[in-house]
Amino acid sequence: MARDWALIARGLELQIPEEELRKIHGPLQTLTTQFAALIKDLPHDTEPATILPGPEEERS
Amino acid sequence: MTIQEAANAFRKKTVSSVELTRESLKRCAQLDSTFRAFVTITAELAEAQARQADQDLARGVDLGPLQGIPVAVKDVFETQGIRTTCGSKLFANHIPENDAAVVERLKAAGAVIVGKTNMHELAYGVTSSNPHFGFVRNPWDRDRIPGGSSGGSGSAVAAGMVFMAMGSDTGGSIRIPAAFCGTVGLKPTFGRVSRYGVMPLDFSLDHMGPLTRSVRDAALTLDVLAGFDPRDETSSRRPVEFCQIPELVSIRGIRIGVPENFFFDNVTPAVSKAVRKAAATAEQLGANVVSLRLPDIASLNTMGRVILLCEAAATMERYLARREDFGPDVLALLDQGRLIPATDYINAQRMRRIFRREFQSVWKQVDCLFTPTTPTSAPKIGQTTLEAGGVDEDVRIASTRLVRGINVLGLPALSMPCGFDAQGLPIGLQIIGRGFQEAEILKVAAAVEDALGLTGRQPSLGTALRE
Repeated sequence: MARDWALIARGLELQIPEEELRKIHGPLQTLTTQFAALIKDLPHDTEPATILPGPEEERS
Repeated sequence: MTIQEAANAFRKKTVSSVELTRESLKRCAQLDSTFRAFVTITAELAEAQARQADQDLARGVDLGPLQGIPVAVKDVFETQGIRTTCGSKLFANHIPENDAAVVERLKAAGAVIVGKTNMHELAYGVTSSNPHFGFVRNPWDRDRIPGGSSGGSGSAVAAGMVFMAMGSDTGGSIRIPAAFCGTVGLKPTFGRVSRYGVMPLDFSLDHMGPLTRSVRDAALTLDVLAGFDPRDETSSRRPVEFCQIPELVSIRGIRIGVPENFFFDNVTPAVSKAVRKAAATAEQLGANVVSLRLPDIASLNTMGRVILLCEAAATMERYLARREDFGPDVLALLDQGRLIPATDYINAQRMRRIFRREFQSVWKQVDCLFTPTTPTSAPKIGQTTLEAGGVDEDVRIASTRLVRGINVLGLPALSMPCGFDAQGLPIGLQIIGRGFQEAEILKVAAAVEDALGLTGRQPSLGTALRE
């Protein structure tokens, strides 16, 4: 799904010049498309990883 | 000369800390106009610290192997009364009131801090071509980048300006310069080394560690740095396992995994050959080397990029009205992070939990992994794409491809020299271990380092030394 980054930027009231938005459009679109495919089957009961206190090995 | 050798000479009184420090400062003065490895050199303070180290040792006060040794810290570590810029125009005049925990520990161990090393702006990139404090150059070829973001630290250690320099690593920023500059670089487990007093880029991915000339030097430095710090809420209370490595180290029976997937795809033949030779060397030393398939590292990297972009943008949001104070590459990354929806960030953190679980199965099969650190040797300054395995790739994406995921997992990883390509540029071997098993990967690395015998090989600095 293509996102309209310029519209999102305006909606968030981010002051990003048009020319700079054009430069980041491609990389952002590629990354978010790859990411969307990655999470499409994410189990609904998966909680975010905790940041504190570190890798899960610490508790295992 | 390594820290171990200098420390031995210091204790035998064949050299003083003042002599070591003056030699270090002389080399900085000769070389830094070429390599731009430093933002600030603290010559007077270093002389005072060196005199103190000499006096302490003369009184019988032995603070351990870093006592009296000239070192440097990346300009991301706050230093009391000394400008700390984070490689950014935003902080060009920032004078901290306190030392970072790492700096406190180095000082308590008697190390002599000769300066603050240059870096990629805000530690957010791999070239260390800093628009505000100069382009850092690689001592093996001054037309090439040293890697980043701890490029000044890699350059300073490789050029022999200091024995050790501290770096930070959010997506490979210790290991990439270590690989490109032919040094050892250790990224400890998340939570092992305090981040108190470090200017943050990304609160769930930032790690602190040393770049050194040998594996044993990295080990003895980690022994100084590691430990709980209540001022860093991510600091681990887990007891520190000290990493002292004997002169003769055995790795017989240690299980080393060489990935079948991802890590050897699209790397140069020279890189592949050198890393596989290192694995074969470990096998000759008695290690049990096996091939294995790893979880999907490309997806891990994608997730890591989402987390990095979002957290870095959150960290820097308050400064982003001052657009003219940022370099264009860093600003573009920060803008991307501001645009990614919160749902993507949260889902990336959810995926992170799944990957951490998946990776635990790896450690049932092996004790550590051998991979390349980077797919190529150091690219040229200004180069925007590189080719490896017939694929053209953005330099930043390519250089972080084999290291970024390890930050997402919070695991310890080390880069060490394992060979040179046809252009005489160093190649890095990455050794990845279980959480908090730094001692094990350092032991394996030391055995391989001893067998490969590359420690003494240094760049020919040629005209830079004479200028």
